[in-house]
Amino acid sequence: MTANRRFEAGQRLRDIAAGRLRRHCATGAVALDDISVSFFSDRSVTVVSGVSLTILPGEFVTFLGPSGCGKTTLLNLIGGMIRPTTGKVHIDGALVTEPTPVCNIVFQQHSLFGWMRAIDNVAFGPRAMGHPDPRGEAMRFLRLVGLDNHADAYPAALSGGMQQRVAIARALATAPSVLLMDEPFGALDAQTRSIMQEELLKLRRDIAPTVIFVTHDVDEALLLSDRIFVMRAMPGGLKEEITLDGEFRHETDVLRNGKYRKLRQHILTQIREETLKVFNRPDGGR
Amino acid sequence: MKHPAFLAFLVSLLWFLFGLSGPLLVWWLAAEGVANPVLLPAPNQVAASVLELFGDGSLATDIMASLRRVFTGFFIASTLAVPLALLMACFLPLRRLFLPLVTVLRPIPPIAWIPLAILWFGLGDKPSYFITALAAFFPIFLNAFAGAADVDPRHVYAARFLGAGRWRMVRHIYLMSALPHIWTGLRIGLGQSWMAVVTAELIAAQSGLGYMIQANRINLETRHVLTGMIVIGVLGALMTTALGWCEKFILPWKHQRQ
Repeated sequence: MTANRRFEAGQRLRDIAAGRLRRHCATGAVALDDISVSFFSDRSVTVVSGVSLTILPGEFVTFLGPSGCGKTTLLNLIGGMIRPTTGKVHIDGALVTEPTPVCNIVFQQHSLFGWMRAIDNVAFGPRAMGHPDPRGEAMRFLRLVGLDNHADAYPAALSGGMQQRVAIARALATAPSVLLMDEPFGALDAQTRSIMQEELLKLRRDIAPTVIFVTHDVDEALLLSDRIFVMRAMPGGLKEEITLDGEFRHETDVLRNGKYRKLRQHILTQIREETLKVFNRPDGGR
Repeated sequence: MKHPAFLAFLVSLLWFLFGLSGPLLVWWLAAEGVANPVLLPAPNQVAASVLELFGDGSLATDIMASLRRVFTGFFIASTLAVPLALLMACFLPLRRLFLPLVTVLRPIPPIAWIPLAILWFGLGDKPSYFITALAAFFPIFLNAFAGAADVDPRHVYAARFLGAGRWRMVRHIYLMSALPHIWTGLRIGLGQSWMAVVTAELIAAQSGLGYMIQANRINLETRHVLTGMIVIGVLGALMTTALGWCEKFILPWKHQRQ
């Protein structure tokens, strides 16, 4: 599998270099170099240790694991919301030190500005970045997520799924190179969640930033990702890397696919192992 | 569709008056029992006093004087307290610089400032402006500060990813996120200011409702004193109600229907 990934990666870099992929795919390369994160001044709590990885421009990468494995921490590191205790994060060769419009983020829920109508939430980024027609731009992205007829609604008047679509439109409206998604569909019901996953894949066909996705849902990871990093716990880190290149994205009935079922079972076993590790510690992993 | 809303208003007004009728009856019976208009004038005597004072124009003058002092002081307080609170919530050095002063000044009641206010500003409007501003400042400041300090970190991160600079962050994230708290602060502040103006006028002014009460107390015109008290109560209640109505324009996102 690893050899296959190397080949794919090499092929993609050659494609980019040859201009065969879309231009905006050429930004959004993320490199984590021997990252560790410890909290408290004596570094007594290590959340993540020894993580090195490279993410290609336009790739859809998922961090998958039980809670407490540091997957959100990795996301926050890439966004510059926290700084590593050791190691460095680079995006397109530039060192990440703080949140900037190179990235954008979609949180699990309640991150829309409640005092702004949907359209003003989406127009916030274009406005801040001096776009000549922020409302027009916002409308374009609202149309993209199918909410142009809810432009004047305040977030509280929208359903959870609609709120997340506005959040995605808002995040895409500044054309980030890297889109960070922290369990973006985690608070939605199963039906809405599955529709949102399809919508996200559709959006990605038109606008192709690098997506870094965090979830504990194995099916979600398998359906969406080019590559999955299964996380280990205590301290958090990478346990296994699985390259899919989105092969399950367009399957209508994945559960009948033998390879899918096998992979799914394999990942569930891996995650269970890590969850038990946290669970069996006398202090419950705290 | 205007009628149901108007009817609902009428019904709630009737209930309001009904709720007051009990205490009014008790007052009336008590006044009959006491039978001494200096100690406790009856409601009808106070009503006559209201008409009399409105008739000679003195009550209107006093009301205008008090309102002017309250709104001037309230305006000064809010223009100082809201920006200061936001800046202190956003910028740590400012917080460290000003928080000790605020913490020590806050427990001093406005009335304790009256001697200094008279020494600094003499008698009349100026010391009252000072006292009403002081009374309104702390509720506004503390609520605005709490609101801005309580801003959701996800909003701050989202805004930074969206490219917001410092000014945009303060104006569109901290201020707006704190606005419900600020609004609460303004409502409490206006109430405090209204109470403080009476205190200030009892001592440091030659006009206004507080002064009017004080002057009539000395003349044993208890019915005028009660008129002053009732006018203060009614105007205070009107202010609170008016602010309640304004809320849907100030905080429209709290009032949009699903």
